[in-house]
Amino acid sequence: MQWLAFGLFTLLTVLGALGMSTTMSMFRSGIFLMASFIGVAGLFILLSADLIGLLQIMMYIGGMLVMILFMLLFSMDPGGAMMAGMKMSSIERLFSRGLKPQREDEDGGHSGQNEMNEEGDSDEQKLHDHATVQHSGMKMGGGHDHHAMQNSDDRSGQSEQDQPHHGDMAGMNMGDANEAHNRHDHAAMNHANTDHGADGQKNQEQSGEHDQMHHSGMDHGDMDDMEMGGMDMSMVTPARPWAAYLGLAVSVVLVGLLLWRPAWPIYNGPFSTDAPREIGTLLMGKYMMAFEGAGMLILLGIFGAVMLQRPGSHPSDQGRKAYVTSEENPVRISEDES
Amino acid sequence: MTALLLAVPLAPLVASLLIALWGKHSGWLNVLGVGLSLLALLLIGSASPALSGPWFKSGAFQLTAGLALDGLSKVLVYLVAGMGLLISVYAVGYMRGEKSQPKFFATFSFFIGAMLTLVLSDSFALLFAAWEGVGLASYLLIGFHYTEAKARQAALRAFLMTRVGDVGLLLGWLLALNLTRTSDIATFLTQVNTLPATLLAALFLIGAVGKSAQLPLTAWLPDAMAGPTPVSALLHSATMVAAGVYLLLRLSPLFAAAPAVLLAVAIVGGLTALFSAFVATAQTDLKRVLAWSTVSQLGEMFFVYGLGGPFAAAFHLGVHALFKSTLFLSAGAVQHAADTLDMRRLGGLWRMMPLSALTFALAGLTLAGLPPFGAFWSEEAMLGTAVQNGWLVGAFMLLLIFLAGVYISRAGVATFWPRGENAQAHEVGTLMAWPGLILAVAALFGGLLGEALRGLLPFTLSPEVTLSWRISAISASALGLAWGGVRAVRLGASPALGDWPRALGTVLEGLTLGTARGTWALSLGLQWVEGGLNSGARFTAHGAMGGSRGVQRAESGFDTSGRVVADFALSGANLTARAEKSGFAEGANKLANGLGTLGEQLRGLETGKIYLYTLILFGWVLIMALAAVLWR
Amino acid sequence: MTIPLSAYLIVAAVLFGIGIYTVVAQRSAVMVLMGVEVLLNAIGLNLIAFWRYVHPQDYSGQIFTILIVTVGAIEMAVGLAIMMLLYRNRQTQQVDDYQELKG
Repeated sequence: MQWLAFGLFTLLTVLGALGMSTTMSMFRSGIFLMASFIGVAGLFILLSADLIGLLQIMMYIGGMLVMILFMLLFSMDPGGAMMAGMKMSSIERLFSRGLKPQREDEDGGHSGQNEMNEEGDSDEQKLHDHATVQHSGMKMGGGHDHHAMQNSDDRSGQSEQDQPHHGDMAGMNMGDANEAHNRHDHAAMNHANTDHGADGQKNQEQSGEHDQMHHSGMDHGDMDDMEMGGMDMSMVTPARPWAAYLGLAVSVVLVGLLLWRPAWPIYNGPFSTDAPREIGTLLMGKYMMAFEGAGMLILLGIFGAVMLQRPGSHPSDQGRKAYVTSEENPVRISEDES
Repeated sequence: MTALLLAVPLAPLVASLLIALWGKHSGWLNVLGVGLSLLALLLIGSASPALSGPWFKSGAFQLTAGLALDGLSKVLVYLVAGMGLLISVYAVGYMRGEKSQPKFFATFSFFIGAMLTLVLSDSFALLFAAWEGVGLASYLLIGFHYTEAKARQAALRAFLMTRVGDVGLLLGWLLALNLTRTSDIATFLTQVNTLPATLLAALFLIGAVGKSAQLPLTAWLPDAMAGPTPVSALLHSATMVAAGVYLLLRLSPLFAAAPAVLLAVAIVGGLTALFSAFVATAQTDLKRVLAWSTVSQLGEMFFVYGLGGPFAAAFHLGVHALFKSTLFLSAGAVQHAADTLDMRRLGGLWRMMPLSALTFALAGLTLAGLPPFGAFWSEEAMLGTAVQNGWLVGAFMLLLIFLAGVYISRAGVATFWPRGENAQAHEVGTLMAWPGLILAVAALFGGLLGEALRGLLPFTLSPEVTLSWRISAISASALGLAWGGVRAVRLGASPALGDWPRALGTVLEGLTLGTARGTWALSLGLQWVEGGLNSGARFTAHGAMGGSRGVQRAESGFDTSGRVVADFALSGANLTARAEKSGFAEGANKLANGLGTLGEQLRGLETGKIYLYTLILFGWVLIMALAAVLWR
Repeated sequence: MTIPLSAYLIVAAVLFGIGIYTVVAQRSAVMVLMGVEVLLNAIGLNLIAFWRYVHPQDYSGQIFTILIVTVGAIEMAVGLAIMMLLYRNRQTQQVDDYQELKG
């Protein structure tokens, strides 16, 4: 029973983090991050640290995540519309399912909303559904499937053969026409390998998370020739391959350290579970300075953040006028023609 | 009793808050606050209450906070409160008609409250907090006319230069906290013999030097005259700058245990006194003369303290506060009345402002040290201590007295005596004239302060001077007064001793600013060298690794290790170049060329792209973690 | 069978790796901050795991975690404020465009 819960939450966490870093839409990133937070909160509760778990939810999700979501409003293309049309590696495509790209040849209408249930009845659609059903419980094969499907107008015969990939991690079908993504895929594969190795025997317990993360059905149409002109509109920095390797290396080193080290002395005796009381006692006594310091820091942070975001007095700053939406000469409602 | 003690610093602070919130009748509220303080002091009378408690505790350390009214603090607290009251009354008249008076008086009250806390505090933590508060108030008050660039710069300069000194104070008291486990001053002083006294005393000296504008941190005080005159009168002549001397006096057991630092104090004080006295004889702005005079007098106090005469220093501190603030008050009256402080344009004001002229004259005579005016006794005490250390030192003291006479009579005569062209002025109102007069009369009787101090201070008295020295002192001051006065009458406001003191003043300023500029230029030069240094590191990394380009590029970005190796490389190259001429020179040339090109290539690493920096950061973390683990 | 300590630590290690990837490889400043959050999460997980398995009587582990979360929150708030200012001035959020540190 414990293993079930552990597996569930671990999956939630890791997939959330993975999704956050690879999806093309920033808003989805935020949601994936929320999933990751919930997973970590669950893990905390499993570890009998219920106070911290609840704090995690309240502070991270209720506070920081909301802040991030607000900041997304300032950014360019938070919905991932422009990104959705670009070439991406399979894992990114996996996590970006459902994003409708912005197309110039359309009649100005669509601006890249997330299409939940776009029912285009093409052959691809049926294949998609088929693939979706079979993908519950596995990730990489599905991604490849898509990719191979989409990028091969003239290779339609190949699309079906990547289906049965249950649990076969090694059998990576590199039938991907896109050379440039090979390295990324490899790195991403290894990435996935690591965490699969960790909760190896829990494949069979991967229940419906996938389904709730993917949107059924989409219309990828003519995606492959959807390069965005000459603009350098990438979600990632040029250091991406390095970053992937580095992340991988750090994980491997940490896990290696873990396995190589002699075991920690595990404590099995009873302990107080009245967390608030214990924490309160410690905070007011032994850790008073830290407490005060943290409080001071919070205060400074608040003041700093408020001060920083004022409309400034720099000549190039548009100042308060740019943010005030009411008009200077409002029209009375009765005279309002519109 | 302890409630009264608490009221002393709290009354002005509460007044400050009230003024800030309410905003009306700010000047009189300020006076009320200080008045209540003084009343509380008078009610305490001759008792010595103390009040102390733990502030917080962390592990083995304990920070206390408290107020204690012992002899030394009694002297200073009466000084601050009394002068604060009179100058607050003066300020009501001075600031009449200015806008944003509430801001001024709120800060003024806050300053008085903080200064009282500083003087009364018995724990380093509270003292430092008040020290910083006083510095903040000074910044706000100097920059009160913030629309003028001069005032803003002066405020910033004052704050930053005292900040440099504050680092010394902070390090000093933190070290004391670390060693004695508590921040209580009294406890600290009893343990002085077991602590590293020289280091601690040196650190505290740095703090005092910053706050009291001694060399090399003098430049801020003359510039601080850009603030309104009540500020100059209270802060920068009598109280805030006296905080440095107060610190020295309070910690005299510590300094007694560190004779090397005492010598340093004497040297710093003496040099400052001499140089600034010379500079004061050449200034043309009345307030600047007084500012440099303050620096000089503080230098004299430091000098005498360093020679082992804390009593004389304390005595002179008290009397100096009285007469210096008087001088500033009348200077302010002159500014109000004649709208200028340039002595070349002033003259003959005594007919139009007789009260202010009288005030200035009394205070000026006091400064010069003529008997029976107040400072004669304090200067005699200082002379006694000086003579005790040798007659050369005594002669130095006489020189300082002479110079004091010169600059003050030059200033006074140039302003008030009828000369060629006379300025137009009118007498100032009662609020401005009378506090000055009261203070001047108090300064007159400053000699009586010595008697009072004898009972209060725990220091030994200064030795008496012989008659010959006494006569020499009197003649020195008279001579100085005469010289200055005559030159002022005949030659207008030209420098009394010729032009070379002014050059000295610029040299002085240049020295302090020059060190800063030198460091800046050095850092710029180092930056140029750094290109080569970094590539030297890369060269070594090349050879050491001999690996692939990617690894090289990553490793050569590690500045710190590169710099260490590069320092080695640079010193090695220097030695070689100096020792050999021909054979090695060519090799060195080639090496330098190679380093240069490599440096160019390495420059590509500092692209400014954040993701590269974060990548290198985490990569380095990884490598360090591996190294730490593998290096069993 | 109860869950071994290493399991949690492995999860934390993986999260840490993903966090590093995100910090370095994302272009938008907001995404970088999200990556930092993942990093902090990983650290917190590590701490609580150790607290639970090695020394659960002493709640200092939880206190440390709380402090880390707090400081993380502050850092995010200030970071986002700064980023908003930068965005206002430059109309861009991509870290590529903030190149003032260029040597």
